[in-house]
Formats: sequence, structure tokens, C-alpha cells
Amino acid sequence: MHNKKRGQIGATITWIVATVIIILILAVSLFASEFAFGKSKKLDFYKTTDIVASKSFFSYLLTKDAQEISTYEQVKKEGDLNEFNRNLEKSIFQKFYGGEYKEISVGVDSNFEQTMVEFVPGKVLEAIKLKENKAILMALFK
Amino acid sequence: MSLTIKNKTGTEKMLSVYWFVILFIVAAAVVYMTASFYGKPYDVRQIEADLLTDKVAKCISQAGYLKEEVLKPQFKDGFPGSCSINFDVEDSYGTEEQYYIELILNDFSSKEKVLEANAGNSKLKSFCDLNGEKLPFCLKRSFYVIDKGNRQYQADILSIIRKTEKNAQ
Repeated sequence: MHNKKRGQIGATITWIVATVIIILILAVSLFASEFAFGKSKKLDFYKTTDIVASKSFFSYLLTKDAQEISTYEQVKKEGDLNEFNRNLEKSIFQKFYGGEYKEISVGVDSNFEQTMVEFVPGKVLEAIKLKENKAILMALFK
Repeated sequence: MSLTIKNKTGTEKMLSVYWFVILFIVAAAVVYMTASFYGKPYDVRQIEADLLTDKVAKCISQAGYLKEEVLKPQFKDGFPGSCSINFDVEDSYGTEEQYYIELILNDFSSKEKVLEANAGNSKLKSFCDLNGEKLPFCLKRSFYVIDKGNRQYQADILSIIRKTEKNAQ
């Protein structure tokens, strides 16, 4: 009789402990899901074009120096950015987009066709062809 | 003998009630977790503000040059209609307007203000310096533009979307 009672107490304790464990696991799952998904869902999206930055890039290429020669014509002739173009590029792209993008690069690319097909999420590319496989490129990386 | 059988039946009944209780607890937890995830809306205000900014940028600059009509008084007076934008979309939030858009055109070198045009609910501007999920979303972007006479400008576009009830519950 005494042994039977002890057996019943043992079984009841097992069930109580099991119940507590189940409730604990559920509570932890609830808190974890509330912490992970409880906020409004933000959409993570990658832009492959940035219209506002592209507008700056096109205007930059059309900007003329004191000799009335546009940036595009200067780069096409000289093969690279000169001091005027480099300073203007810094005062536009670094200033306007430095906070949004980790890396900003404006310059001449000698293998731009290859660069254009290499997709990297978060990369914005805009290129204007100079000659053959050479282009002036604006690349922005998130 | 018959007493043992009766006791056994009682224990089984207790156990089935216990399992039903556990089943309901687990089901309730699953329902709560699903509702907490799918019940929250997607916050699309950043995309909306991006689109609004792009629309204004396209409106004032074409092929790298500032459009001539932008500097005419009719552009400012008709803004944002002059950019084919209107804010008559959703009126389920009462009378308060959900949008604000501001365009400022400065001289690139001297920073002298050349144009200022705005439309929408200007009260939303006061929330832009604050941080919080349930506040209006502000997006300020700038770009460089020149006119046909090679005059350089800095265009600043501020787009604000409220719509907190729909996007940030």
C-alpha cells in the first residue's frame, strides 16, 4: 500500500515537471518570435539603379570647365579624370551619397562590359562608353 | 481486482484531459506566433518615398540638364501638379494629409536659394529629427544638375510619408 502511494507520487511529479518544461519551451518560443518578428516588417530591397545618383552623374559629365570643354570630352581625350574632374566628382558624389553608400567610385574602367555583367547585390552601376571597351563608370556599393 | 481496473480507468481519463490541455496550450501558442508575424504589416514607406523622390528628380532634370520651365513661376505655383503628382489617394485616415514633398534648388557654389516649392502636410516636417518606428518616414536626397548655360545647382528633395496606421502597427 505504502509502495503504491510512493509510485503514484513519483508519476505525478514526472507529469508536473513535463508540463512545466512544455510551458517553458512555449514561453521561450513566444518571446523569441515576438523579439524577432514583433516589429513592423521592413522590406529589404536591392536597387540596381539609383535615379537620383544617375541624374547627378549625367549632369557631371555635361559640366564644362573654363575652356568650355565638358567632363565627358575631357575624359575621352585624356583617358582619365584630371584635377578639375576629380575635385568636382568629390564635391558631388562623396558629399551627396557618402552617407548612403559604403563605397563610391567614379572613374574610367577599361573592361566595363565585364564589370556591367557582374552582379553584386546592393551595387548600383552607371556607365557611359568612351571608346571600344572603355567607359566612364559610376559605381555605388551599399 | 475490480478496484484496480476502476483505478486504471480513472488515471487514463485524467491523462486524456491533461493531454487535451497541453494540446490547447500548444495550439494557442502556434496561433499567437503566426498572428504576431503575419498580423504585422509590411512597411513600404521607404519605397513610396523613394518613388516620390525619383518622380520629382525626373520632373526637374532631363538628359542631365535642368528643365527650363522649373525656374518659371508657374512651376512653383502648380507644384506638385506641375510634376504630375497629386496626393488625392487614400482618405481613410480622416482629414490629415499623409504626404509632404519639398524641393529646394540652390546654386551649387554660392548655396544661394534659387527655388523652393513644397506641397502637402508641412506639420510632418517636425517629426524628421526624431527616431521611432511609428513616426512618419522622411527621406532627404540631393543631386547635382546644370542648366544649358552651365550654371550648377544642388537640388534637395525631401519626401515624407505618414501612413503610420497602415505600415507600422
